[in-house]
Amino acid sequence: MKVKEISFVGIFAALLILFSLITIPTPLVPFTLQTLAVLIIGGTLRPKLAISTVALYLLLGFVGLPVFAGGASSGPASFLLPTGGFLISFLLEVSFLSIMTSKFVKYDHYSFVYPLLASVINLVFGWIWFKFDTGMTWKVSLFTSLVPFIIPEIVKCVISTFVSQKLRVIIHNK
Amino acid sequence: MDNFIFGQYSPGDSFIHRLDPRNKLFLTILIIVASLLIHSWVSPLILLLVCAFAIQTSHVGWHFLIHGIKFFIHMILLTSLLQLLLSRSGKVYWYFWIFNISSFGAHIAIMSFFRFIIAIIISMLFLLTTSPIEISDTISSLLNPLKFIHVPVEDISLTISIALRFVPTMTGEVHRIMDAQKSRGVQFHKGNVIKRIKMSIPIMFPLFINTFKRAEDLASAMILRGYTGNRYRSSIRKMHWHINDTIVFIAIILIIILIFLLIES
Repeated sequence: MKVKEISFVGIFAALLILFSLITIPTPLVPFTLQTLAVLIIGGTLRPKLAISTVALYLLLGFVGLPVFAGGASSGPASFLLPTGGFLISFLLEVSFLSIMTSKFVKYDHYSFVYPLLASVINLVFGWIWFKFDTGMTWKVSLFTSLVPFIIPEIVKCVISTFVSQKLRVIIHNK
Repeated sequence: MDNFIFGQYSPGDSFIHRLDPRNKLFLTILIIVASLLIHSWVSPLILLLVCAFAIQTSHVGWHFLIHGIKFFIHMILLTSLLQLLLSRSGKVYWYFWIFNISSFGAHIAIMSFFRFIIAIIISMLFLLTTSPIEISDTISSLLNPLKFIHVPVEDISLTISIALRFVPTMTGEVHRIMDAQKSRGVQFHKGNVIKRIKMSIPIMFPLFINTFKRAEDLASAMILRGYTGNRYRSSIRKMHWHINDTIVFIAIILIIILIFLLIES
């Protein structure tokens, strides 16, 4: 790794930890900034940096540091809980998003599609994991683990597209 | 939020505190994996007894643990309840519309309840008795074997140290940005949900831009001080494997082997 990569991965992992600790109280489903930060990091950083940052974050959570949403962590158990799939699929989400945005984006009206598809990957993977972890039927697990998050996720996609777009202009002059 | 990263650690000098953190992490993962593979009703009780004994020896106090478990208990209970009511297999005792209680449903509900409880208790115990610095050293030492397949372990451990070091700094940064925006008239705690979510944008922009600047500055500082990546570096903190570690290690492994030989088979 180059020195610059080490510094970026470390500091952005710190930022991701910080965002995970912030939860905006909303009715029904808590609106955590964790997934939003993953989307912004995926949409702003280059693939290698974005993937390493999220991988480092998951590693810190895996060994037990309280870095996951709301400051909670139970170490390796976080990945075994029914919601563990959402954490693991952050890697898929961020890989997809960073690769797509770095290769194909001239920012336009369609740039909203990439974060949206990345969120779909995250939610669907999380849902399948939830289904097998709890042994529920497909339909019940769909309504418990995926449907309540659709609206917050769309809001996050809108914010992240807006923020990443401007950040890329400032940072990479793209 | 300021001290979050140190929030869980409960300093002490008990038998469990003094164990090598590498040993503790390995055994924690081992017990969690074992709890996933068991199917008998007796095995989780034995693992719970091991956990209870460890908690008693660690002197962290049960209230710490109960406080930690509280966060997850709703999710665990809900999952178990849904499993109990929605799985239909084996002998059906009661049913109503799509809900039913069957022998299989009851079994998997109880087993998954125990699995989560064991996983959470043992992970909490690891967190309560191991300082964050020890944890970050442990990660580095656990990654060490990966050096043989050319994984830049030294660099990864440096990124870990940077991440942990910068969380408090950036927390301060968030407070500063919030104060700055408040002084410009932003009211963070007023308005409906949409307004509140919108309020997060004036924090995010400066935060992300400052983060980029900070990362650039840090990289320049490291280059100027002659840092070159992935070389062997000695550490000021050394971890020691004592006789107690060997005893605990063998004891836990023996218990798990016995569970699988005597109960599970």
